[in-house]
Amino acid sequence: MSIPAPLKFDPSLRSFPTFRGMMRCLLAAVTLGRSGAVDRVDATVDRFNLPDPLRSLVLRTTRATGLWASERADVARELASHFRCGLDAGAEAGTLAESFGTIATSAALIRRAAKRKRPLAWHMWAWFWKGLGMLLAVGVLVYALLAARYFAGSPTLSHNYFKEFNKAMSAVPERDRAWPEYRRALMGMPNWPNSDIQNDWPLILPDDPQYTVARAYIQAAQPQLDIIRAAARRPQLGCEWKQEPDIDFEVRLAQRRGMDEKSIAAMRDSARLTKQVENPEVVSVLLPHLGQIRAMARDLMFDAAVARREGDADRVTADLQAILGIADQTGKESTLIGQLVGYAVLHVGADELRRTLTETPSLLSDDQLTGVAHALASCIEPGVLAPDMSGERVFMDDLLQRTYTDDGHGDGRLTNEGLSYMLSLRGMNGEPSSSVPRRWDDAAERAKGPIYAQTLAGRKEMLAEYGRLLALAEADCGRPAWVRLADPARGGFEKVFDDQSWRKKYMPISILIPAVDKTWWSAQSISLERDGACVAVACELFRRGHGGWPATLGEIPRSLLPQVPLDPFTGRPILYRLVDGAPVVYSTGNDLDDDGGKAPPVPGARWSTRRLEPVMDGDLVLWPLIDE
Amino acid sequence: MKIETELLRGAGPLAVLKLLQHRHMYGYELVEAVSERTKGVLSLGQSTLYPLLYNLEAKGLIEATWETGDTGRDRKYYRLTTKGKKRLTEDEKQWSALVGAMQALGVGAASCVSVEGRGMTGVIGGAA
Repeated sequence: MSIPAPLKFDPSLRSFPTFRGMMRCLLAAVTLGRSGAVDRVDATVDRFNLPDPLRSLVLRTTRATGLWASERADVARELASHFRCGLDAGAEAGTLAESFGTIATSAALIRRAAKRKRPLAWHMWAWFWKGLGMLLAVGVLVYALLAARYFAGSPTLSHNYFKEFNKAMSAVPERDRAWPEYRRALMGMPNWPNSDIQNDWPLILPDDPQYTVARAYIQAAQPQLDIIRAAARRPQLGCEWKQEPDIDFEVRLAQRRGMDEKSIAAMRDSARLTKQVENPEVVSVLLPHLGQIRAMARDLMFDAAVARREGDADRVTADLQAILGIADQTGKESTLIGQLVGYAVLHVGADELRRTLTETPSLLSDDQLTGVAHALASCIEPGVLAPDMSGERVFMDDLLQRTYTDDGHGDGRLTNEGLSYMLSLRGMNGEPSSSVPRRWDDAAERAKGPIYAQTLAGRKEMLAEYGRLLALAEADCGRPAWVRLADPARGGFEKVFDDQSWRKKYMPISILIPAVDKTWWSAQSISLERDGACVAVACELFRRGHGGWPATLGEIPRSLLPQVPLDPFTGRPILYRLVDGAPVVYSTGNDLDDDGGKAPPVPGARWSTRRLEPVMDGDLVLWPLIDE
Repeated sequence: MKIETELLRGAGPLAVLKLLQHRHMYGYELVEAVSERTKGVLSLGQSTLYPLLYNLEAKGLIEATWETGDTGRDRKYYRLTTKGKKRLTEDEKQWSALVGAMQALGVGAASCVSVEGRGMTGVIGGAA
C-alpha cells in the first residue's frame, strides 16, 4: 500500500462534509479496505518521528475524538508537533506522555472544542437533529406516561341497570301488565297465510286476490284477538328486559312465518349458545316485543277493516280501542324506541278511525264514536306528543361504566377495554364513523389508544354533555313546525353535530344520541293526525245532531270539540272548509298557504311520510282520509 | 498547595490571550511560557491546552496558521485577532477589578506571601 504524500493544510477539509466527500470516503473504504483518512493521520504523525509511546498516544487520542477525518488529521498534526517540540526542548518522552493526561479525557475535551469550530450550517443541522431528538424523546416519554395510565385503568361495573329495570318492572302487579297476555295470544295465533302478503296487507281491499286469505287468517285469529283486546285495557305493557332470546316465543313466530324445522332447530341451537352474564349491557337489551306490538296493531287494523265491511260496529270499536290501548301502553315506555313504537301504533289508530269516518261515517254510534275519540285524545298524553328522553340516560350511564374508570366521585378516564367496547358499537345509531379509528383489532391501531383517549371528554363531562343534549333534544322535539321553520339552527342542536372537534371529543354521544329529527317529526305529525281525527269525529257528531255539517269549526259546541287544535305549520287554528258540500279538515303543509283543502296530486300527498323538506304545494288533508 | 479549580476558572483563556498579545506562539511554547512566567504557580495542562485554544479560535478571539519553524518542523502558530485584543482589554479590566476587590477585603496581601513563600500551583483547565 502506498503512503500518501505529506499532508498540506487544506482549508477546504474544514468545511461541512459534502455528499461527494462522503461517497469518496466510502469508495476508498471499499477499494482499499481501509479509510484514506486513517492513512492520512498516520502519515501526518509519522512525519514528526515520534517515539512509539508518543506516536501511539497521538493516534489513539485523535481516533478517540471521533471527529471528521480532516479534523482528526489537523489535531494529530498539532499534537505530534507539540510532542516534537517537547522532545526537541530536551523533555523525556515518558514525562511528556504522563503530563498529557488520560486519552479519554483529552479526546473528549478536544472533540467538544473542535466541534465548536465547525461551520454554522453544521451547528444548525446538529441543533435541528438535537431538537428533533428532544421532541421525540419528550413524545416517547409523554406517550409512555399516557399509555401507562391508559392501560392501567379498568372499568368498574357498579350498577346493574338491567336488573334495576327488571326489578322495578316485576313490582308491577301481574294483572296490570299486558305483555304476558299479548305473548300468550301471539303464541296461539294462526300461522301467517303466505309470504305474498306484504307489510301493508291490512290495506288490501276485497277485490285483491289475497283478501280472502287474509280474511280467513284474521277470522281464525279471533280468540287471540279477544285476548289482545282485553289485555289492551291494562295500564302497563310490563315487558321485562331480556338478554337471552325468548326461544319458545321466537320459535313460534318463526313457525307462523312458515320457517322449516331445520332452520328452527338451528335457532334453538343458537339460543343455547347465548351466554348469560351477570350484568348485561343495556345497549344490547333485547326488545323483540316492540316488533310484535306493531304486528298486533296491523292485525287489529285489518280486523277493523273487515268488521267495517261486515257492518260490525262493536268489533270496529273494540279493535280501535285495542289499538289505542296498545299505543298508550307502549308510548309510555321509558325508552325512546318504545315511545316511538307507541306513536306508530297511535298513528295506526288515528288512521283507522279517519278511514272508518271516511268510508262508513254512520257505522259507529254516537257513544262508540265519542268513546274512541276520548281514548284517542288522551292516548299516551293529551295535546302534542312530547317524547320523554330521560330514560335514555341509562344507556349512557351503562356505557360509561363499561368504558371509563370510576374515581368514586362520578368522574373517570377512558380505558383500553372501554374504547374497544365503545368502538364495537359504532354504527348502532347510524352515526358517521369517520371520526374514530376503523381497525381497532390491529396492534398498531390499539397503540393509538392512549392518544385517542386524550381527545375524549372525561366521564363526568361526557355525562353532563349528554344530559345537556338530551334536554336540548327534548326541547327541540316539543317545538311545533312553525317555530322550527323560523329557526333552521334548531336551537343549537344541529350545530353541535356539525362540529368535527365536538364529535371527536364526545364520540359516545354521537353513538347514543337519539335521532331527534325523526322523533320530532313522529311526535308532530302523529299529533296532527290525532287532532284531525278528533275534529272529524266532532264534525260527524255535529252532523248527526244538527242535520248538516258545521260552516266553521267554531260552530261546533265545546262539548264535542273543547278547542280547535292548532296547525303546527302556521300556529293558527287547523283549517276546515266545505268543498262541494263535503267537509275537509286540513293543514296548510310546509308551503304555509291555504290551497283550499286540495292535496298535492303527487305521491307523498299523505303528510305522514313527508317532513319539512321538500316544500310541496297543496294542503295536508287530514279528513277525509286519502289512501295512497 | 494546589489552587482550587474554581479560582482558576477564567484564568487560562486570559493567560493565553495575554501571552499572545505581543507575538504569535505555538502550543508547546505557550505551555512553557505560562509555567516559566508564573514560576510554576500556574501551568497549562497539555491535554487541556488544545481544547482551550480551539475554543478561543471558535470564538474568533485567536486565529491559527501552520508554519515551518527554524528546525524545519511544522508548527501551528496562534495569534490574537482584533476581536481577541478587544476581549483581552475587557478581561484585564475585569481581572484587575476583581483583584482590587479581593485586596480591599484583605485577601490579596496574605495570599501573595503564601504564593511566593509556599509555591502554590494550579493547573489551568476548563472551557474558555
